[in-house]
Amino acid sequence: MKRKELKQEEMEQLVVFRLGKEEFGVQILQVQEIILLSPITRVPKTPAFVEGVINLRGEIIPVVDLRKRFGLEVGELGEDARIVVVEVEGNLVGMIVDEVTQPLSIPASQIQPPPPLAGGVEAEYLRGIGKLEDRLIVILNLERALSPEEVKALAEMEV
Amino acid sequence: MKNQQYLEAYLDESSELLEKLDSRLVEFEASGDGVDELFRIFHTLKGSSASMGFERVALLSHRLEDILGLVREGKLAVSSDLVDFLLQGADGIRKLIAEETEGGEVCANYQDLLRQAEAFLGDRGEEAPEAAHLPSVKLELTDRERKQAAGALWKLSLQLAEDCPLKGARSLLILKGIEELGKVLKSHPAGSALESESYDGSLVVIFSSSLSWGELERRLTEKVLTEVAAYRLEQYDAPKQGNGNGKRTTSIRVEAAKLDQLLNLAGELVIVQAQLDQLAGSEENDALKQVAADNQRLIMDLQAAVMKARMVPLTSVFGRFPRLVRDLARELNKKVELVVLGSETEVDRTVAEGITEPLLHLVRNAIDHGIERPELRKAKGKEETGRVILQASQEGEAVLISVEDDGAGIDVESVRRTALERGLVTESQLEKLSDHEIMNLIFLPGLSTNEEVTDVSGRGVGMDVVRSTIEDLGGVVSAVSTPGEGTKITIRLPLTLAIVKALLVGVGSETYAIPLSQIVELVRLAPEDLQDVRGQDCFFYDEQVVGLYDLAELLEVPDKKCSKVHKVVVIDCGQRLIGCCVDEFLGQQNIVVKAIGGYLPQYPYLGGATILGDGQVVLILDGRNLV
Repeated sequence: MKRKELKQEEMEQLVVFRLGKEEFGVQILQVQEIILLSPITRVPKTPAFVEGVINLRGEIIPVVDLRKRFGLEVGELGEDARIVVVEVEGNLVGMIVDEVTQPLSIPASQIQPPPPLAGGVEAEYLRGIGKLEDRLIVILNLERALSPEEVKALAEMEV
Repeated sequence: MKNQQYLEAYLDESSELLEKLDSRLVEFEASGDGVDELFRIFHTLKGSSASMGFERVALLSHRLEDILGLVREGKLAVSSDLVDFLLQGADGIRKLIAEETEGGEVCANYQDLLRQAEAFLGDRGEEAPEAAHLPSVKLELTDRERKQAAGALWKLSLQLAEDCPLKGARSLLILKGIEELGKVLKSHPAGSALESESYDGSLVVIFSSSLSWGELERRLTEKVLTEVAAYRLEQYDAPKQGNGNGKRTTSIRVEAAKLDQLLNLAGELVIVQAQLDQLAGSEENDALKQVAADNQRLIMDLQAAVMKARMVPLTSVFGRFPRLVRDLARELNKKVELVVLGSETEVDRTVAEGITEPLLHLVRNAIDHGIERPELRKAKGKEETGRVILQASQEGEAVLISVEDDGAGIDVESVRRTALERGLVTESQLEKLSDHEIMNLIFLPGLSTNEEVTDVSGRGVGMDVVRSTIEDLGGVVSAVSTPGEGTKITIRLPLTLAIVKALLVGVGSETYAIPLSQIVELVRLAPEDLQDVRGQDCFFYDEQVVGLYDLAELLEVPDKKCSKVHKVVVIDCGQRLIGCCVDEFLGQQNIVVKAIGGYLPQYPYLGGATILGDGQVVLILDGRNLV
């Protein structure tokens, strides 16, 4: 009997969260933890999407509101809102999201390159669109979305 | 195979000795005092270098020691040329040691130095280098042996003559002779080994004696040391680090990293203790409150002790200036007297390390541009010898270091003109500036008004690098000058950067922290105290007109309260004072300065952040860059 060789398909493991009505995902390896909303200290002269900083067990990390970051609709944050703490190029950043749903594994074959605009977000901040059953998960490119250079440039513009 | 530990100890010891050498030599030139100490330093360098196998260092040190021996006996006169040579000799020793240990810089003029030494020594003839023949045994005293000592500790190393009969007996006689001068604590070889057939006639003795060096040498050479080919007498354990007057300080060397870790832990303790404080305050448990209070006290003490452990006196920084000033004055043909005050003032070690370069530059400047040539000074009716005062003092949470000269002062016109020419300011900006503020333009990059770019300083890169280095250390620098009379540059530095005392202020619903080291005073102003100067609210403080700024505006705080009485924090920005008006003074606290992480850029107005006892994150403002 011939044995069919099953090729191990590359799977992307994602943490999935909701911003407004759209679902977004980030690579699970980049996520350090997910915490409840905690008091945020405002930092003056930062771009509008930087909400401020929080105390994460003695470490001070910045928190951004992704909805403001991408110019999406900013509704009230409900009970399900969370802060997803990610590590990007050695820096920890917290992202405020409306809800965190179950993490997923998507086969690489199901991920397509992003169109110019997906979920209201421009392609340069995206790594792709994942299709799973009837869901579309917009996968973020955090290095671009949360690049310190951009914050710096924005800061200099406002001066 | 040289033991690494010995090597480190040797390097530490010799670098301290060489530093001491520099300043003692300058003193010696001026006052003629201190020959004994200079002699001892060269002597010790000779001995320890020999035991490390660094023959050239030993030989050079030996020659220099001989020269000082002649001076001590009155056979050689003290002259500037002699001191010059001795200083060069010290440099030579430094280079030789570096060559031996790191292989970097090479002492090219070694032979030259030896020759010059010979010239000074006259016709003393070639002395056999005794170092090569003497036993170099490291003897250690146990505590018990030390306790038996009466008087200073000495080490005598000797080699009996080849043809000495019954070497063993001779050595025993020598030991007996030493017993009459003091107390023998240890000797090598000991007892039975001296009687053996193969005894080679070498002997090392550690003994205590209350006799003076001169007396000891005399009595040893006259009576005791017969049939000895070579010997060396030195103080045992002589130069320890610490105070220059020879007091024994028990100190150990600690890796800086270990102190840093201690400081971190102390910092975390401060935070946790604040939380405990909070919790105890909200509980109705008296016992808990007591424990929290006790804990608080202990932790404050611990924190103070750890910070103190990182503090070093400025002597290590100020120590090189006498030599520098002397050399520079000679090079530029000026007469300069250096006065050093407050060198016992302590600062955090990172500050001490960082402040040396800027101070060097400022002192060079003072002598190069400030102090005029003797003829010119005389013509101006001043003393021919100019004076540079290097002074340090502690003022609350800050350390003040100043470089003052009684030279020509800053030429305000010249600064104004150059600043305009180089496009660093515009006409209209210049009009708004007071003379004092124009003087402080010298810290801008590209502004050197010295026509000739001398080798020594003044390429226009100097002062702004001084300022940025000082700012990196958390400090500020400012200049005050009276044309024709002199200039004083003042540096203000925080005592430490990691845990600081800060004032908490309320602005609207937000809280901010301002380091106390930047705060001059807290004042309350009534509307009548304010004046409008060219569109800017100002008030009088300490005979200055100080601008008043609303912190809520500067920080774009959304909700602010209005107050008829302004609560104002007067901040020292270096070049000037500013007043920041806040809504509430919320008290002083020790806070741990934490970084905000790499995602956000370094905002100039922000000096980090801290976490209060209740877990709240509070931003720390940097007063120097608020406006």
